[in-house]
Amino acid sequence: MPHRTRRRRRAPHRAATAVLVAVLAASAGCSTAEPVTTPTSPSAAAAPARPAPAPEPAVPDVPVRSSGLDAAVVPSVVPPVGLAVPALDITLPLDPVGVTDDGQMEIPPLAERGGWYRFGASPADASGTAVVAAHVDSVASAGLGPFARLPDAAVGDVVDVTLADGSTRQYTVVDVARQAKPEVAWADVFTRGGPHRLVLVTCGGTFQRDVGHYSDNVIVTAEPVGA
Amino acid sequence: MHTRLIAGGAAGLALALTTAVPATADNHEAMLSVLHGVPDLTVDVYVNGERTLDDFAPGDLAGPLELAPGTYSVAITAADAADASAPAIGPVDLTLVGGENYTAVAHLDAAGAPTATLFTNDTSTTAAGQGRLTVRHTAAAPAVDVLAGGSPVITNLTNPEEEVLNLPAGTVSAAVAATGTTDPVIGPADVPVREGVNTIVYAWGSLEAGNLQLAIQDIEGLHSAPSGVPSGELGLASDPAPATGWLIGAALLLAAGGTLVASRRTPARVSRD
Repeated sequence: MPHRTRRRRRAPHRAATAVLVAVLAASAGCSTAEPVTTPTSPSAAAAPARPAPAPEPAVPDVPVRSSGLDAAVVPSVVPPVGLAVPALDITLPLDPVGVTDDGQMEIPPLAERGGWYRFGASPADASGTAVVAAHVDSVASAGLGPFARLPDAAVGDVVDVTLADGSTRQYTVVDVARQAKPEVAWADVFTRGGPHRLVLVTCGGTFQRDVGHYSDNVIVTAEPVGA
Repeated sequence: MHTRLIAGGAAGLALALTTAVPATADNHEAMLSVLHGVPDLTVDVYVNGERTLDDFAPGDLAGPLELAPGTYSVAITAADAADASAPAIGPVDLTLVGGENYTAVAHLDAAGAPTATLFTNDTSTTAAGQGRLTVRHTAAAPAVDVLAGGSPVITNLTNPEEEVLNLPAGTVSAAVAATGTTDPVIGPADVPVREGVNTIVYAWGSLEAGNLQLAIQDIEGLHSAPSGVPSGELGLASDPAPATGWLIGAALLLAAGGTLVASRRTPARVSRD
């Protein structure tokens, strides 16, 4: 169910609104009624009674665009479709994933497939973090997946990513970390801006049967080759 | 890409204009966009004596401008005026509060008279995976319902009110109908609800004149991160753990028909005592 809030303009804005009402109402009058005292043509505006105008300043570069629906910008995204870490014998097809009802990242049920967080950066992007996660083990796979070897990643390992358009991107591992889940600052992982990078995530640490998940996350950070 | 304009006048206000600005200004700045929703009227807009919008046409959306909080003198002239020395109206003062994000909308009221409304845009963080859809009635039309996929999701919205929905990211097939009806007067049209974005949809124009239409404004950068990455279910990769945890996991696997030992590639990592 969508969360709904009905909002009303707040009182402090009413004064400003009134100002604009006056502005626009008068302005609209210019276009719909006979002008009486308002200059509406260049000759009128340059009437000799006025002091000599200063040189006309350049109009500042205020962005103006059409607000039409067809002008709405929906950025195109080239999703990744596969990932490999040759040093660890990891090969994963990738599925675009989102968020589950509890607000966590969606993970493909099969541990043999990785999930690319489709609301964040793609490896095709020049900034932000592309996040790929896969189960270390899963019920659907009835066993371990390739990311069970992710903790063995070493700085300098190569990560190859294939995009949907057939192009490839190459990264090198710059950090391998294991962190207790409650302590992970996910906002610092799922960045939308800043330098581009690839982050691989799975689970690690101790499996906690009482809550049904591992104690830690394994987080491998890789940067574009040549960056 | 900043263009900084030092505005004249006794107030000495600095007006910073930018084409790439954060969606959420910090507490020292106000963000202002301006939407022109009055049909058949083209104007110039002067701010602190400087012509800021030239030939501003119906349906145009200007900004966002990143402004130091304060009071700005705004004058509107005919589109062909040489300067603001003989404004059609004004100058008038407009006070903006730091940290807020505004859209000033010139539009028609429900009866068709020109008016304007200053809306404060909701730039609070969106939940991971969600976007925000703000619907504003700025048209010369009676109360409306907004239909999504043919069903009303907003009812009895009147000019110049708004309603805000937080929705899973996706595309909404939206239509506007007189309240209590489902016969669209606008749309249906596909409206993108982007993750981490407040998509503001304005209904503007005049029902009587037959020029009702939609305007779209996006405010990006409201996203938040998922709360976690739950990427393990069985405990097969667990560090040494209580025996009960392991045994239960093994039982689950065996029940599922998994080949437990064969599938494990790093058996030394699991406690088997």
